[in-house]
Amino acid sequence: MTRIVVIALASLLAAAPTTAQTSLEVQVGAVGSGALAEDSIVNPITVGPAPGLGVTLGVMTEFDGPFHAGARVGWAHSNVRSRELDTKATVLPLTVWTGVLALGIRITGMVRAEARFGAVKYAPGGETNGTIFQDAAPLTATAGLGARVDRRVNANWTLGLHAAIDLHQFDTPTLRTAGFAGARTVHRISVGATVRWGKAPDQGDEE
Amino acid sequence: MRNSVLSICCVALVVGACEEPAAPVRPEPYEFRLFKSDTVFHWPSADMPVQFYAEPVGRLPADVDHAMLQWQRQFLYGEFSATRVDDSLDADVLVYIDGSAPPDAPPTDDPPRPVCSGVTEFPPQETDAQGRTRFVDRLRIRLSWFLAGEPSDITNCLSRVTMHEIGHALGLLGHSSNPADLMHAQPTVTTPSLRDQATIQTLYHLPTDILPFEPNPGTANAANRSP
Repeated sequence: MTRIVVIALASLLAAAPTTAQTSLEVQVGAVGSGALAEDSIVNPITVGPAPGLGVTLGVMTEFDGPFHAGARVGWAHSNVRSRELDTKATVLPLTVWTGVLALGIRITGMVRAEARFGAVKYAPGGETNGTIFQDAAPLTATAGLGARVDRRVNANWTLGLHAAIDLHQFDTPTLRTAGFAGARTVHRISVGATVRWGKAPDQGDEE
Repeated sequence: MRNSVLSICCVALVVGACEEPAAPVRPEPYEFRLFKSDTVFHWPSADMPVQFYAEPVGRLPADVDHAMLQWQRQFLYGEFSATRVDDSLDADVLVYIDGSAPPDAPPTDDPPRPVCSGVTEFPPQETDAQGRTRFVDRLRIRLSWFLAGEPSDITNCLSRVTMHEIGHALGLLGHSSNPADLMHAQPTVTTPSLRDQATIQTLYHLPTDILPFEPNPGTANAANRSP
């Protein structure tokens, strides 16, 4: 999957029209996720990733006019935790990789909204036997919406804030074998700061 | 135009978020409590991974490894883990073969034959300083094999019975009345069934009445365990 994202990034850079400006960006922030499974054995049990750190690298191309496009590779890490009544337990560490393409539009001078689509890959760490990941960890499609507020600080550097919500279908062979019927829709919310390097076209977003 | 696109995307997200698969319907568990006293025993999460020692005889270490893995795979949420240790003093559960080493024959798919037996010995209990009931010693599993059996039948039987006895050591203190279950009194299957799975999952989501043996009271036994 990493290869696909790299190719997508390179393609976006190469295909950027001469009237557009492409910049590189780093996003750092927090990532939260909905439950991966809800079960009831003796009591109701909820299992899902705890909030964790997320880092995203990407490129963003601003076209003439209000539109922009981006390609990003994201990494997020936290622990999968189970909660049963008042008892919380750590199940195993989890890394989640994402590769998304974004198409966006300027809402106001500094505010942009974007639609995102791509793939999410779960990469559990440690002992996976005895967990929902014991047979395989899913690679699945994801889609979502994001918003960002950018403020150019000089000709080449832009700082900003971003927030996004993505949805994907979560399912593992272990859950199927255990009797879960169908995939579960899981949302991931990411918020954080963005640093972008690259000369942007004059879109009037400077004060 | 911009607002329309955003609205459509928001509606799609909300609709997509509504899908929730129902929790699975599991088979009814069989009896796993201790007969008469009706007490429950399982390994607490602080004691994970449970440490097994297998006498280095024949295929016993491999059988114990296989059994630990098979039982661990019956869980979904990390409730149980196990590891095998080389020093019996480090172990929570000791597994031995009585008598001489069994014949060295590879496992086969032949029909199961009762050419071996096993027993899990639970030590007496005491009340510790905190008023908790605790085993006074390690659990022991003793396996034996019969001279009348064919070598491959003995190999198959020891593998099967090792897994059955380790089920007892995990806290399944009763037997299933269904021969399709590994925890039937005379096991004929080679892996835990869905009912075995449902029973052990239920067990590990109940509070335990009995704590395992603590080799060195007052020390953090769990601190010696790898995460």
